[in-house]
Amino acid sequence: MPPTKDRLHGTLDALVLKTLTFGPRHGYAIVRWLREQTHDALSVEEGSVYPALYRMERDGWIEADWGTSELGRKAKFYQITEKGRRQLRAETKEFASFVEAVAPLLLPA
Amino acid sequence: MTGRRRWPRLWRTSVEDEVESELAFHLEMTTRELMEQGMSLTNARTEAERRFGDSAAINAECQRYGTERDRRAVRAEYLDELRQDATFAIRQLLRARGFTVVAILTLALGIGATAAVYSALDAVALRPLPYAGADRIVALYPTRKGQNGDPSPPEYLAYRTVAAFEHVAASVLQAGITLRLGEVPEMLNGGRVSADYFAVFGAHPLVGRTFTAEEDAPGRANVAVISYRLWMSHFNGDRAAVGRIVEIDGAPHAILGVMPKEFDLTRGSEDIWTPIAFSSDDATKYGEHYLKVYARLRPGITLQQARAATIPAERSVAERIPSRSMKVSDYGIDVHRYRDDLVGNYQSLLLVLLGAVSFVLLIACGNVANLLLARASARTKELAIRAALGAGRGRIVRQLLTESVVLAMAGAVAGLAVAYGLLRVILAVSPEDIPRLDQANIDWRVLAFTLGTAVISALFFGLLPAARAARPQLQQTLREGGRGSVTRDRLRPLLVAAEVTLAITLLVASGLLIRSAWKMQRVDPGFDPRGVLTARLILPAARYPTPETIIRAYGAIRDEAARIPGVTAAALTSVVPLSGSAMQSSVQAEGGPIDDKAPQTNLRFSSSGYFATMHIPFISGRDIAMTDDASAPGVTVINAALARMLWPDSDPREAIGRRIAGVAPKNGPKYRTVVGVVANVHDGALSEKPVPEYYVPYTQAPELIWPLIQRSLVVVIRGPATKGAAEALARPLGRAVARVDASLPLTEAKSMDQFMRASLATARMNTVLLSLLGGIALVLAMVGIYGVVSYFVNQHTHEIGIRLALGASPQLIWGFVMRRGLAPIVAGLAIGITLSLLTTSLIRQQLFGVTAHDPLTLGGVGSLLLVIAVLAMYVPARRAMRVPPIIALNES
Repeated sequence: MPPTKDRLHGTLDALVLKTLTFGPRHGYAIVRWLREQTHDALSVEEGSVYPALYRMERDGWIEADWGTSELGRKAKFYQITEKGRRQLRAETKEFASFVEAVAPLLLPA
Repeated sequence: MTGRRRWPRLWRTSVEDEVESELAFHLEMTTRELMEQGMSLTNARTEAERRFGDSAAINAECQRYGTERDRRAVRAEYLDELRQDATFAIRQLLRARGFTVVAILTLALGIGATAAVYSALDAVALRPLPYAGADRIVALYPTRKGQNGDPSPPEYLAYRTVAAFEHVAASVLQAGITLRLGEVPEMLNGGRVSADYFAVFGAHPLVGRTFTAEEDAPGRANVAVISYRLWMSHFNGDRAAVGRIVEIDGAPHAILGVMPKEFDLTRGSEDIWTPIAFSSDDATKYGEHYLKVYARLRPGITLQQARAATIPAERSVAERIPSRSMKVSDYGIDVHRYRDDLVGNYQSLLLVLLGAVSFVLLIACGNVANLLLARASARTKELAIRAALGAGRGRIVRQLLTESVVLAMAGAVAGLAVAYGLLRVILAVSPEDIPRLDQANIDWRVLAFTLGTAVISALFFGLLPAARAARPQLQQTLREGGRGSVTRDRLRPLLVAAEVTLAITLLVASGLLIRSAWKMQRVDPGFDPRGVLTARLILPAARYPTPETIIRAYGAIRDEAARIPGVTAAALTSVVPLSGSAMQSSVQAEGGPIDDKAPQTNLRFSSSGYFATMHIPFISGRDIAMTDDASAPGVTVINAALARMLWPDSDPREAIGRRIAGVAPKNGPKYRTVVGVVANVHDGALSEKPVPEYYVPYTQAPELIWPLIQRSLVVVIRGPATKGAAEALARPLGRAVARVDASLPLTEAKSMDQFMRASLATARMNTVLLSLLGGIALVLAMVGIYGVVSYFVNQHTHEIGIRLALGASPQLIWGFVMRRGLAPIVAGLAIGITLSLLTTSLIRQQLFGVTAHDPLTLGGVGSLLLVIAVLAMYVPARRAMRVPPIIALNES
């Protein structure tokens, strides 16, 4: 996998995990939270969050349980696991060093 | 946590539904949100779908991850349960320490013995030969009326033209090649081989090169290839060994290369290869059948095709033979796979051993199954409670099987120690020439085999008791207070019967092989080996060019040897019995039929005093005399078998004065007068019948014989018949030889007792290993019987107590226990003996002097087992007799 795509991949994962540190959420809520927090700057397709969720669930970073949504509908709620938190810390660290390396080039003071 | 991990299992809806409804929920929520912002339903839905992206692809991707997730979860759950089961099993086993130790030791014996024999079989027969395309390597044997023989040089040259072969090579094994590196020459095994030899085996030198066809010619053949073993022992593995000039058989040779380690097939295989260097004369040596010819088949050619393709070549040689005694159509060819020739006999030997150990393993499994049954009934209450608490039947079986597997694994680990020890024993007692046996060790293949054996054993001994223990009889058990039901117990006697059957079958086969070995050890070889020392000498051509010089030197050596203090007799011969193949020759009686039957006999060149030295008795006539020299008329001493073969109608004593000759095609027969008849000697092996044989004075040996046998004879001396006396003569003999020619190397001096031992090596291996395995089987069977009878008495303490209280005599109780105990044993005996009658026919070929249905062995083994069984029952039966009635009654 080319490094750029990997970066993007990792960033999306990290963002989703970050969202979940504030408490369990269903997929739609995650997407809306991301959209609001980034002020619609993150123009990924909304649907692409779901494969990421399933993949992370497979890898044990998050867990899912069926619950009832605000509107009384059955929805799948995701929750971050200890393994997920470790992953988030690692991703964040990596992202920071990426920014540290790239920022001086792209954003000269 | 565990609850969550289990959800895919509780949630039996498919991943498909899960993804579907989750994505639908998202779309619906987005649509609702957009409608709240004022969009129409249709527009909102379209916009939601647009924002969502390629829903089909996303759906598929989610399903893929979801399925993987579920699979992992199931596996994780399974592993989790397995870990729980294993920890629980270990705890349980540690608690029942006595049971565990006995079970593990039993399994260690069974599994370890199996692993050791497998390791040997693997090294010798199962592992592919270390040659590229080893199954294409064949050995070629010319046949006469279907009888195999060795090829002659013209035959070898003819085979080379056959298109079915990629390469054809000739070789002669030489037991004594003299190598001189420093001052002292030494004698090694070597081979003279044609240049193609290495190509036939697809072998490439580790260092340097092998010789070329140009170097494989008279006058140019001063080159040699050495073995890895020699390279290590004499050159310290130094690459500079290649290119060194060393003295081989008195002539300087350049070392061209070193063969790889795998090329050393046996502990005694060749160390030096030199070119065979056929001259143009060799092309017409039709009568000299001394070669071994190997060939590499072209890919896709079968043995039958190769044979068919070689027959014309063989017959074209036959047509050229000037005076032929057989029809051309009597000449044929036999093609053997090299591997089969190499390991054929040993493979069946090792397979018999593997059969024997697998019986031991089965008996061990039977014992452990019995132990588990006994334990399961002691645990009935525990299991009933577990079942009551909701453990399913399958779950309990799994738990019990896990215990069995843990037990088997522990047994396998302990078994590796047993395997290691037994492998040492096998190596110590096996014949030296079993190819690659010394390469046997506990490697990953053996480890894998051991592990597999352990798991299969676990299923064998664990499944029945587990299935039985998990039988739902909850209420009954709980009501009985967990004492377990006493009534139906047919499984245990069945196991005992099976064990006895196996033990009997194994013991009968072992007994027959051991009896064969004994009989072989008691075969009278026809000579007296005690106190006799032998040593082969080879005279270098450079200093001993003519028969006269050779004969003079040997005469002097013999005289010097006879003067050694303590030596009562000294003589010379071309080959001593049991030391390898003697020279073969066709022989005809004067006036007898010449054609068709030109029977092969052994031919030895000996000096006077040979029979006296070996203690081979004369039947009539006289010994070869000193005066029977090259100038005197030809004489010979024949053995009784030859006399009988040539003159079947007359007494062997009447052979004196008659004349015989080797079948000589060219110049007509050269007759020799029979001056003596001696008793037969076992020559090839103690298990083989003595063959017809004639002895010719070495002083009268045909001139062309000397180069053929490398001017080589064996000095034979007789010392005191005490143990070790013969070996002690080795140094004096070396000094005696040195007094004649100090530069002559002496091959390792060997006593006739050593040759006897080597000849009995296979028999000895059978005796030692089968006695060992038979002994283990007996002990295991005894333990098994003891366990079952003891258990029976324990279970019936109550009943016995009542009977005693009601006035039954202890003798009656003894009878009651014995009858119950003996029934399965007698049944096992009967089945086992019947089965033996079938199985022993498999080993018929390895028997000697006993029939496959030897009644003595059958009866002996049967009684032995019965005695062992009664002994095993004695202790529990006595305990039963002494049950104090009051205790039995109090128990309830």
